[in-house]
Amino acid sequence: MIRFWLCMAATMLMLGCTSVPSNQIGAFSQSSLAISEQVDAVFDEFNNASLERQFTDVAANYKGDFAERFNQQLLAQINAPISDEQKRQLAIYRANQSLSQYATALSELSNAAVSQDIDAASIKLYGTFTSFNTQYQLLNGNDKTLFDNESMATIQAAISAIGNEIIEQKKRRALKTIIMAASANIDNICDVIIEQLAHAGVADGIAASRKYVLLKQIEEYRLLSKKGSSKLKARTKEVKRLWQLQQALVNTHLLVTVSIDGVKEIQSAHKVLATELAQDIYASVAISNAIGRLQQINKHFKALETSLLESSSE
Amino acid sequence: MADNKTIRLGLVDAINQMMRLSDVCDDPDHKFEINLKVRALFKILDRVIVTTLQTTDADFEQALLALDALTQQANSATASLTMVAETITKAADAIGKIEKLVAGVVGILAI
Repeated sequence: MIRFWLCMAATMLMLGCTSVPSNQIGAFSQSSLAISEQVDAVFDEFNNASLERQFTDVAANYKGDFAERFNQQLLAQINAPISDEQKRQLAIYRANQSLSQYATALSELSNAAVSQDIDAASIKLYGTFTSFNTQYQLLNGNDKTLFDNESMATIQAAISAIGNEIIEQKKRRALKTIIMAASANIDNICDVIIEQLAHAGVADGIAASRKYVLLKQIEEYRLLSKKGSSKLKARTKEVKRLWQLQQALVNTHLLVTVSIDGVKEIQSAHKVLATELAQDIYASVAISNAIGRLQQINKHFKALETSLLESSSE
Repeated sequence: MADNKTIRLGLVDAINQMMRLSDVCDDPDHKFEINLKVRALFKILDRVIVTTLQTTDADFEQALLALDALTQQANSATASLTMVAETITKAADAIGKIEKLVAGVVGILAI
């Protein structure tokens, strides 16, 4: 019995030690994942804004003498510009998916408590490198890859060689090997996402749709106000709602800018992590600061997203 | 150099100008027609954003010119409503040219 409790105490001690690197690298992974989800949210908003515009268009135009022309065919023509299937084919979406898979696997590795979990998470991370290669080839339209066969073999060999060391040591070595190997390539894939976000014109598309909806609603407000029967309280409420739509329109480009800033912070924080791990530093002020910036930008985006949802929900 | 952005901004300008025209147009039938053209321009804009166009294509230049001509025509018609019918015809011409451009790009969603 005494031996059992001694073993338990030793195990708990080892598990307790694992939390040092896990906290900071885990926080980096979680924040990176959240930012990666924000990039997806931009494309969802592009679809939502377009659908809202199409609903408003049909409702605004098929009235009075034209109401009889409203039919099922018109409804069938309404669709989201990017279907789920198309979305999966978008290069930026796929690159972003690779990034989020990397962040998820990194998070799993940093939280792994037993040797088998470390092995599984390491293999998963290695798999994301293959995914990076595929997406990078797709984005560039050629056979160039981020990781060549030789470097892939080196990483795999390094992970295999970690073997059955003490959990904390094993995890540290796995994290160090993977993060350092991925560093330059995370940089490249982030560059591509930033470039695509900046030039695809999604913000222009969202802004144009939002402007259309706002102008049609202002038109309707003018008509209702002219009648003179509406109450001041109701008109004030409506003006407030229109003002919120106006705010959402003004903030449209900010939505994309914040996403770009977020991806830039992932890039920067990953560089900090790789530099620190190269010196066997697993927790430091530099890492904390980098993660702090990531979390800050994530908060900023969430606040922006909330205000946008509130203004378009009525 | 002309690129996706050029045609995207051309579309946004044309849409904005056509909406201004719709706002001042006092003929309900014309207004309805203008709004249908705005809808068609928006549909193309949605597609241009998720498509990489071949900017070296001669059709690309033609589409840009047609869009520019539409924006100018719509601007003039806003001041002189007798030009509305002509503007609607010009819009149909521009839409046809850009649709041709976008329709040629099948399944390439490379943003």
